Amino acid sequence: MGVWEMSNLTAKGIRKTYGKKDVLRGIDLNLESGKIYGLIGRNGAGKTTLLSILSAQNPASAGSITFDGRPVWENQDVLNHICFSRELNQMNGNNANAMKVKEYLRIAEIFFPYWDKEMAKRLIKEFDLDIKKKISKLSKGMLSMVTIIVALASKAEFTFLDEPVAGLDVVARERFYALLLDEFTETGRTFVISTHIIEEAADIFEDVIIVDKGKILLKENTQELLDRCWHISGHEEEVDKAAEGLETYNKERMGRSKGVTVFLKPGQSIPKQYDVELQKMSLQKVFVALCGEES
Amino acid sequence: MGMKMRNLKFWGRLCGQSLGIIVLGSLAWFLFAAVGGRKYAGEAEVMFLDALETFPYYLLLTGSVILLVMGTTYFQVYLPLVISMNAARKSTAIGLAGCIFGIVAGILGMCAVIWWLTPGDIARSGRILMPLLTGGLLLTAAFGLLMGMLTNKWGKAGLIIMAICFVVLGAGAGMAVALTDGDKVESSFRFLSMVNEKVGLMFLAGIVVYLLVSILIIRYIRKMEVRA
Repeated sequence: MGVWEMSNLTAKGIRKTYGKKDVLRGIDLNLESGKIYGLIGRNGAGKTTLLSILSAQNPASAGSITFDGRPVWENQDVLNHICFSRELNQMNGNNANAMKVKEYLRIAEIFFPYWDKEMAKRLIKEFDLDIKKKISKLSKGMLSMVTIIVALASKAEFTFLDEPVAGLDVVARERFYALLLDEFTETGRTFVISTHIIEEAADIFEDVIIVDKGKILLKENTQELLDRCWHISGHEEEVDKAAEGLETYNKERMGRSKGVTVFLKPGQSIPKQYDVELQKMSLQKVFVALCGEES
Repeated sequence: MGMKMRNLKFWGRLCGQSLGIIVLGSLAWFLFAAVGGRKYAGEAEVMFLDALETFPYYLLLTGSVILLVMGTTYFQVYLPLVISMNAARKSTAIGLAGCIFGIVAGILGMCAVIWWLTPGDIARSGRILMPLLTGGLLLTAAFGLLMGMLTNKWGKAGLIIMAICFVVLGAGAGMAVALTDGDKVESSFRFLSMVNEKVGLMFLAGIVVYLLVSILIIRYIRKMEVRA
């Protein structure tokens, strides 16, 4: 399996409603090939629903998904290029609980046309996974390993992973990130990874997509986003003057001291004459500032 | 490998596995009842060929039960799984319907071979009843698929509804037989098989119902939510 050609996966006006609840409210998104995207959002923001619709595993209530202009829905030629390896849930009755891992991977080998059997074998050995075990008997960490094996061995051009590291210990998580980067470097595949463990994964995300309450809050190059986010702290009056005219979030007060997160727009900067402390923000803190309760 | 081949590989294997289970189950039951039972009844000699001509009925009965269960199992386990692995829904539905049809065809094929090779009245009447049995088995398979669809849509409520329908139908048929004179039932059955032999009514009914249920499943699966 060689390097993929440049393709685009585009979502336009995606809405998803369950009963009276709007889970996704008008999502427009363009995923370019050859990137690792981080998809982050609070619980219930709509991340899994978005991924399942992008990969045509669930129908949208409105809107369209196209792959290089071709519709994704019920288009096997396009579906061959997509893999959504979602978190396996033993509690859900509608799944393959009674199946052994070996059988599950055998089915994956049949249906993913670019399946790399050797890679799957290598990963099974690397993770020391007992493939004769039933899925219902696996620990949370082992379930994550199965998800990762399917995602990586599928060799799909656009691969979505939903919480791939949930349940993995820190050593296994580091190993996953290394494997992902190796695979990305070798093939240029596009990965979209949803995760709550933001800080660890931030270094591998070229672009970050933040979903909040069914809408995309931002989609931006990770480094560019971090370059324009600052935390200003100091005396309340100084902070207010320094932050004047800037987009602010997450105001904190501690007596007469104040802290605020600012997002600089192109051409903006923080004035240097005020007696305030400036700190770079981590991706996790940016996310909390944007999506925390105070916002 | 194109999608058609992938579907054939997956659903074909499931079909083969199910047929294997049906044959093994029927064989166990047959050996116990037809051979062992007759031995137990004191027959000095059990003519294997005599017993063999009844084996298709064990296949049909075991197959009927398995087909009813299979519909629910496939909807609960394999359908969401295959769709989650990015198979198109229409081809998945066709694969499922084809797999179940393959099981039906396999059972009937085995019955036909055994009845054509064995002498005796049971084999002869079995050959005459083939269209009727084909239709009956297809109707059973269709019922199993419907059960699976309703269970998928409504969960346990769907399973309970179908089970109640099944019990009511069975009880109704039993009561009809009990209230009717036995001789009349037998002659009605002979008449029905004569009619069936000539026009294949039951056979046609089975084919039509199975096709309609297959189309229903294709339409249902198009909008099915998958959480594999």
